[in-house]
Amino acid sequence: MHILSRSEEIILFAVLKLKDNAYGVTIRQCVIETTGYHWTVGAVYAPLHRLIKKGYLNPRKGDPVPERGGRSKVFYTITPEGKRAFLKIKKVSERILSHVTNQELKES
Amino acid sequence: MSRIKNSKNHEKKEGITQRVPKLARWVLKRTISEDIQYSAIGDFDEVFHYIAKDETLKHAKFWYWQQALKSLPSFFLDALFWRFVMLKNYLKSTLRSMKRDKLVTILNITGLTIGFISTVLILLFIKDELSYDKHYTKHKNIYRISTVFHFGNQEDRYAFTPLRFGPALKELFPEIQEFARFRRIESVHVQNKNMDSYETGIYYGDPSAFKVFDFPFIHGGLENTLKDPNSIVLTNSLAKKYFKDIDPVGESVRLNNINFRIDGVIEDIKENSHLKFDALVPVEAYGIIEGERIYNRANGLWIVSMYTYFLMKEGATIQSVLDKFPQFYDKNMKIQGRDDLWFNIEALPLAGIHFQSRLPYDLPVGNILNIYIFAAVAIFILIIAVINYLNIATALSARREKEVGMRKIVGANKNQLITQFLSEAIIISGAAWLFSLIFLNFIMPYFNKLSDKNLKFSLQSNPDIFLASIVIAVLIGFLAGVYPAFLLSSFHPVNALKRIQLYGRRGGWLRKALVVFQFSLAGCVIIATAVMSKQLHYIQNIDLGYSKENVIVIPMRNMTYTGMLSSLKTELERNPNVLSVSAASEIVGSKLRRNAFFIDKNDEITQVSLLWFSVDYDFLDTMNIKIRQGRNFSPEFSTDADSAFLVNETAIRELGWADKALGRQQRTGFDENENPVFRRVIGVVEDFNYGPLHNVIEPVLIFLDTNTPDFLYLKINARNVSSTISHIKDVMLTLGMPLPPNYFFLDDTLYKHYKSEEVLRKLVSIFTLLCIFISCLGLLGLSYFLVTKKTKEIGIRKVLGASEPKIVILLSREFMKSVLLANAIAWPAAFFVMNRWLQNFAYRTNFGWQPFILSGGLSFSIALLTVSALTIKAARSNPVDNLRDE
Repeated sequence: MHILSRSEEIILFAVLKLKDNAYGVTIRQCVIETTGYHWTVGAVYAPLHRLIKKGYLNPRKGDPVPERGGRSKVFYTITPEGKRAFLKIKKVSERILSHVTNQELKES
Repeated sequence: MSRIKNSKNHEKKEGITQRVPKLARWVLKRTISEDIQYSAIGDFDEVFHYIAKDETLKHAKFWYWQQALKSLPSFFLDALFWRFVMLKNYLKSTLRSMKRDKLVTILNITGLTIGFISTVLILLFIKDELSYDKHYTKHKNIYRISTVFHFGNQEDRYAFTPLRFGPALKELFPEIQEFARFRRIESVHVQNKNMDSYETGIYYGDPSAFKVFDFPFIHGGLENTLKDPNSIVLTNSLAKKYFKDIDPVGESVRLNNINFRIDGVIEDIKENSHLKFDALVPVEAYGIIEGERIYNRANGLWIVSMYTYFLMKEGATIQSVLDKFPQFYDKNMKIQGRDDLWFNIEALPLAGIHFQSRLPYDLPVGNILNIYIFAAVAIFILIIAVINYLNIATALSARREKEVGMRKIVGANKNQLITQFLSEAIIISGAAWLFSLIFLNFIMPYFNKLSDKNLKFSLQSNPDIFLASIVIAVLIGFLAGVYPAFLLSSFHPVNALKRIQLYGRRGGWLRKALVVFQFSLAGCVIIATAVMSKQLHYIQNIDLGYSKENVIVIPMRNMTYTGMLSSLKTELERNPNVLSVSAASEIVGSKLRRNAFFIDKNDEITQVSLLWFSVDYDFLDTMNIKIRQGRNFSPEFSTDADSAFLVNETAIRELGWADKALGRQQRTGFDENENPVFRRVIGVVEDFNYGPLHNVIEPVLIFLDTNTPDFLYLKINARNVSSTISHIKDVMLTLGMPLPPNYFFLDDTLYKHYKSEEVLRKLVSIFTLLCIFISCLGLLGLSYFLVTKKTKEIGIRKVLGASEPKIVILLSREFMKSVLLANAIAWPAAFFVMNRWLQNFAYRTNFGWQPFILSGGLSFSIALLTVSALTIKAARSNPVDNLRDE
């Protein structure tokens, strides 16, 4: 079991959320909206590629689109391993976060 | 998300992605790793599309470029790191193979070094020649006008224009912003408290010259510079000579014993200017310095005496002045009843004078032919050096087979191998470049002496040529390396390791062809040099029709000695070493004057343009010019001065006087009251070459002038020359005519006409030697290869009883065939080119067989010598050493 980095986690979340419409541009949009920070187009790819290598995501070519200069969109779908990994992350995060109250953070 | 939702509505505007900056997309493609390239580029394009929709196309493009450029730094760092790692490895294997074949490495680097040195020298030479007068900021608007005389059908051009043209034309034509006139003063006696000397580089010049040209002032240079006739502007070096380091403005010098106030000091005129002077005095000082007699003679509208330059107003063309000139001519110059006589002007842009001007009385100019020949030679030398590398590298490729095989097996692909061998070639060429830089420092002074220039080579003085030399080095490395690189990288690893195609035959025919090509180039250059030398030798030793040896010519133009010629003669001839003294109006061997004459031509009075000059009684004897018919001028006939003249043989032939020349009465001019003057032919002289041998002999008329000819001719004894000259000095000083410093020996001035050819010959000879030398380096490399390849064969042959000479012949035969074939190609090519070169001369040597034999013999014997150096050694080796395989 690999530990996911934060960026991989966020990307995985975005793919999960976007369901059938998860490809580079939408993923980036979603990530920007979730985190509230500006991500460049390029910044999405390194974690995306790592996720594919780990077998958590599957790339799949769609139909060619004129906006992309005649290229296809490359859609990403989450694999069962990906879902399992995400579940683990979720548990870890919840465990961490549940022990920390907002009150504590304000005081520090 | 809003952008994505809208995307469907925008599909009709699909054309926008066409507007993605192509270059930026290419950059992105190169920098993004292949795994994600496809989806990433698509995403970039899509986002571009949205930005173009929501904002503007400009924003989108800007964004796209930003993305592309941001990806660059890390990409380069990455690439650089890995390149460096590999480069270190390549360098190591390059050094190893260099070590293994030391001889070959030395040959290659020497060849390329010589190639680069010659290229840089020739580039410097060419750049200097092409840069003439371009340093004047307004040079594009400056023109020099020159004169065309029309006599009937004949035209005569001069670099000079009449003295009054400058101001007169400026007043008449508003297109002209400023004029500047110049004229060199033959020699001036200059004195101040520090120095007493003669100067030959002082010019008359207009004050407006400072507005036309950039002559930067060091001292002085106020508004009224040179406005006073008795003022002078010095160049820095002349100021140093007469005033050391003090600021001389306001001080005075004496020119021919007249005081001149110094108005300013300017920097020395740049070397690459066609007009170079040491000092300027105003044109108004003409009469003051040279006397009213000379000034009045020069002041006529039909007398040309000045170099005239015009600075045109911005946007105005010189053509409009040339077009309107006939108005000026009709009004001021036209001579009634002489419609056949006509005067016009021409113009050359300032920067064009150096190469385009071919006018009599012009300042020294260059020859574009030299530039072509030099450029060709530089390219030849480089080609020969490249061929050396190519030949040796392909020949020795077998030695690298194992390395290539090994590299391929451990995973090198073809591109990497090509990179390796290309970088190897570039490393060698880079080393040669470094060596050439070092050697250039030592060679520069010799080259300058040889080419009569003052060139420098460094990054500061010639950044362009410095950069060019780097580019050439890389390019040459690339050119030389590209074929061996492809050849080597194409080896099949298994074959290479099993040594199946051992010592490949591949490239064998190519090597031969290249050797033939090399030696054809060398052969061409040898023939060219031989023909040049032959022609110059011919010209310098041709029978000129007069004796040029031991004749001193003294210019007397600035001296009034009316009636003193005979006493001067008697005094000078007191010294037994002065054999004879005479005088003439022109320098024989330079150029005669030309005038229109109304004369019998084929029994009809015609106007002809003829050359003429005048001499005293003794001139023909002094110069050893022979009389064919009739007699010379003689003091016994008192009428000779006014009513007799001589002609040359060409004159009687071309004018149709052959049957009866003597006694013909002709109108030869007008006296002061415009009455015609008639003279009779009293003698015919043998043809002699009165001008440089580029031209043929024309008809010449010779008149008698015993009063004030401009040049004294002294025939002296070849022995005790210096004591003879001091005698001449003393005599002239006592008679109140100090010997001007610009006296000269006649054969020296004749020699000067061929100076540019002589410089060309010297330089080309040296580069020829280099050509042959580099070709032989290549041959040496190839024979080294051949000998190592055939060690065993030689051994076996010896064991079987072959004699040493037989083996040498066997090994050398192929090369010698190539060299012979090369000569067969070079001969017709060189004949074609050099035959055209010879057409430049009216008197030319025949081509002859010597150049061909020289080229054949020289290249053959040098090649044989080179090859046999190694083959003889191989043939004498002990077969046991060659065959033993333990």
